[in-house]
Amino acid sequence: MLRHYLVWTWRALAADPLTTLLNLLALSLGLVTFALAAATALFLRSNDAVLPNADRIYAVSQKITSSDGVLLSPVVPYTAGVVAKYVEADYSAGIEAVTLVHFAQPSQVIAAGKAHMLSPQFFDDAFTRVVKLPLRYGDPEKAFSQPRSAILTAETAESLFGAGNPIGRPLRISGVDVTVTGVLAPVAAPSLFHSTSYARFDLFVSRDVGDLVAPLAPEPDAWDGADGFVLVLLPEGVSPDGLRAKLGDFGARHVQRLKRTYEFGLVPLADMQKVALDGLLGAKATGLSIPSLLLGLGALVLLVASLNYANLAAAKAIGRLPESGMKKVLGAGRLDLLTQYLTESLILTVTAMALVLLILALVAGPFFRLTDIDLYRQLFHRPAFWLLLLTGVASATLLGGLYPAWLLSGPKAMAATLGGKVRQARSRLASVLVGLQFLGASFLLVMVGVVALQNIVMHRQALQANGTSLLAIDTALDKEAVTSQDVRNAVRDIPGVQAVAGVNLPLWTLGSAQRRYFKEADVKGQAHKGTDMEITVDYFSVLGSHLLAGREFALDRGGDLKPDDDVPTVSYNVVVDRDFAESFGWTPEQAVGQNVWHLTLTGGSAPVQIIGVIENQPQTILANGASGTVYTLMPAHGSIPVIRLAPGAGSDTLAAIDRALVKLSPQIDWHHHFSDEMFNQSASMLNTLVAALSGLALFAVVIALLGLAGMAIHTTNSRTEEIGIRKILGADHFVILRLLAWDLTKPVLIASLASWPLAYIAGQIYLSLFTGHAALGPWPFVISLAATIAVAWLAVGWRIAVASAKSPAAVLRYE
Amino acid sequence: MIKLSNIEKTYRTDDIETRALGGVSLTIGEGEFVAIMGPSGCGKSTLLNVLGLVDRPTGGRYEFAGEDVSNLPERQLVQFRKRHIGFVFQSFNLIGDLSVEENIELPLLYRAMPKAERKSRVREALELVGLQHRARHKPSQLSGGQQQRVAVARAVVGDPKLILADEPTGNLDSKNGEEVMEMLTTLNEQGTTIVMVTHSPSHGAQAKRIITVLDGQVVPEKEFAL
Repeated sequence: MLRHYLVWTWRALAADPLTTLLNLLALSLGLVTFALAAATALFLRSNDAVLPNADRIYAVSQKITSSDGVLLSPVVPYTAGVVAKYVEADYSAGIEAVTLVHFAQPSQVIAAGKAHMLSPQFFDDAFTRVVKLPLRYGDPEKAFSQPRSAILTAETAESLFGAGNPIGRPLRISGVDVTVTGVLAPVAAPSLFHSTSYARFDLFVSRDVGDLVAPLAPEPDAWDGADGFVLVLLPEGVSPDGLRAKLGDFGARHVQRLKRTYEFGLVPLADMQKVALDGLLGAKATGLSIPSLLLGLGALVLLVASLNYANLAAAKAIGRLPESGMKKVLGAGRLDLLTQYLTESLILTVTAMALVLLILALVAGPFFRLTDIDLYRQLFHRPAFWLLLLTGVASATLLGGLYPAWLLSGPKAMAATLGGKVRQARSRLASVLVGLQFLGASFLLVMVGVVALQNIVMHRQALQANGTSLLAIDTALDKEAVTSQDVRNAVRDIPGVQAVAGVNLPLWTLGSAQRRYFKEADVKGQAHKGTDMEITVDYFSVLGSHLLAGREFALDRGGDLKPDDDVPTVSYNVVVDRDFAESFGWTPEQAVGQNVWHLTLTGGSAPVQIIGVIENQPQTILANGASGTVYTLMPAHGSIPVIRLAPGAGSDTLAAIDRALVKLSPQIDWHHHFSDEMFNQSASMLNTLVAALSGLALFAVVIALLGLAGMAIHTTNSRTEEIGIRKILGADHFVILRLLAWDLTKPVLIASLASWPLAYIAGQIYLSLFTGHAALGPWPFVISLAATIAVAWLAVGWRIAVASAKSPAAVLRYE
Repeated sequence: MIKLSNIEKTYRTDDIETRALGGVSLTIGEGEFVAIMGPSGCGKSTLLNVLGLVDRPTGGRYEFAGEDVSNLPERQLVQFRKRHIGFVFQSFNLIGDLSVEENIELPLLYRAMPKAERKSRVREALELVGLQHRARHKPSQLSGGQQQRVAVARAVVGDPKLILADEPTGNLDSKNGEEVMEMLTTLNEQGTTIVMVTHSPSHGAQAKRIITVLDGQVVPEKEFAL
């Protein structure tokens, strides 16, 4: 019987090669999208999966909630360094080893007489007991056991010393001399020991150096830090649940800070990137876990492809009803026919899967270069990938094949046969299926519009006052030799330099420190998060900020200078942006003179007074829930010099700046970047997101169009008689054209409109992630609708035109 | 073999109720050749569909070979149909994608019959209708008469107790019509019960018994003695 199912399947597919090709194309596109989404989702959940003992290594995670239940820090896989000490002390009996991988701010590293800004991680004595990294040069045991040692990544070694073995070469890290004892072999991404666009890693340095250049804060302040990864190696065969349960009261026993609740847990090593990314993008608040989101979008495109198949197969089914009915009369049961037609669907999806594997093999190289994701590894080493892919194939088979199979095996088939004439009934469901396809495609198109709109707004913000007229000197300074003030003084008088200021953050970082502010001194009402920026007095004039109300900072005004304390307990003045003022319900004018309160370390509160409000001018990308920006005057922290160039200033000015900086310190490898360069660097992840989303939307639209084209073919075929009769009764070419066009446009139009509420909600959630977020107006919706209808018309217009132009005699002859 | 008692069949749409059969009672014995006649729309085909177990009556009792089949579940009806009943249609209803022999083999496939036996039976059926030389042709390559002979071969290949023929000569010229009638008569002589719907008085006259249906009811019968 199976042979017959396969023979019939072949005949059915070969009988209508155009429809078969359309279905195959659509299913292949859907499955490729789903496979790439699945590969990416699994990639995010395979951090350091190739390391020995990876399945026994867990990171201690941390979540912080304020006394009033506000989430201060989502679950992140990094903690204060002090956690490692207490985990080892409390649970040594149940664990094999625990290590702190302490990541520090970029530090100045001098090698071969040149200074570089590199991102180190400090390892402790237990590191190699937990993590066993392969080395290209050096002995793993010795390399990580010597004091004052550094192990470089292969890229760092090459950039500092060129090709060759650098073992034994000296380095100076923030003034401390160390020796290179090893060079890491390349580590497969994703890895904690692999640089990404959002987390750099250049070299390991021994803990004794870290104690000198980046010491951990003493307790109790130590608990406020996010110092690094605390990695725990569990004994073989031991479930993490025991330690996870014990960590339940770890926070309560060790941390009594600001009445906050510290919750600790365990995250598998493989999930660390996923948990970190979810934390960065506020997955808890938005409900968008990145792997789930990716899988969801991939599944959405696959659903569109499956609906396309269901639609075309159902349209074809009308013509196959007599055949099915005859089979029933001859003794076929419903199950026989269901099996027959699902076999067709299965053969088609399996063929599509074979095509998909071929496509994946072809795109593996470019995809790896673009994303670090090794598709070959997914195909040959990840059973989970195959499980997801086969789930996709099975779902597409059932989603696409079940309805036509049900239709063809049901009572309509018998009726069509016994009646002796096939009823060319137009299925309303066909319109619904096309509509559903366009609903998915339209949703994705609107989201492409929203993401693109946000990118445009941010680009505009980056270029508006800054662009190529704002230059930041983002070189790590050895504070003892050269200070930010020295740099500002050195370049201030160069022709073409208008003004120089300082700020605590590089321009356009992804996110930054935040503080919660309250309207009342009892700090019990609604909290408003503000992104803290510490600036020099002339920052606003350099940035070209527009003052809306009040005044800017002045060095000679009492209270403008913020005390040099992380959480000051005395009052000082701040300037805020429009968004921050409005989050309290104030206009810029109303905000001036108001006090807002923040929590102090002792659990009390201290006020800051708003002295001015400026127009929104975001300098970070992600909002992390912040309502706006709070500027404080703190020249000592303005470590990044920012230079405004005069209009027309060109290469002469840049050369003069370079000469002045080299004169200031010839040892330092000076770097400067224009604001737009820094924006583009930070926004590269977002550009990738736009590209990925656009690709998904394009696939979905193409698939939906294939469905619409198929529906146009079957609709015009099945309405041939009706067209002939209408023409005989007096309908002209244009009446028929309008009738058919409207019938095919209707589902597209309704589906687009139906997708809008969901797209609006998703768009708002997406925009809320950004500091300078765009206002969600009608344009993404209108453009998406116009584009969808235009391409739908292009896809089906030819078919409708041909059908409507036929002579009535010609069309009725076929009936 | 067949006993219908007060069989009713009503079709319902949203606001219209159409009574196709109104209390039909009749008995058909084994080996009979019965012609059902009547004007268009009188319920002949509905009666045939009920007899063939492809349509359920909305009332009454239907006994087939002594078993009450009025309320059998679909699954058992399928089993009954494929074991005992063969069909011949006015429009042949051959499957265009299948060859002549594949069309004839189809009912045997649904009985999960071994391949060797299927092939043997198909050969016999083709011989019966004289189309061995057309075994690998597609229906579209045959004349109307030949197509109907294939349909007859398909109906008999499973060795059914009952053959239901719905206007089997309706789409044929007189010569081909006569050939088909001869085949049906031969089959009846070999013991197969045949129930045929026809508009043709001359073909009806070739049956042993005529049942006339009018407005969904059977009118008094006229029997023909051999």
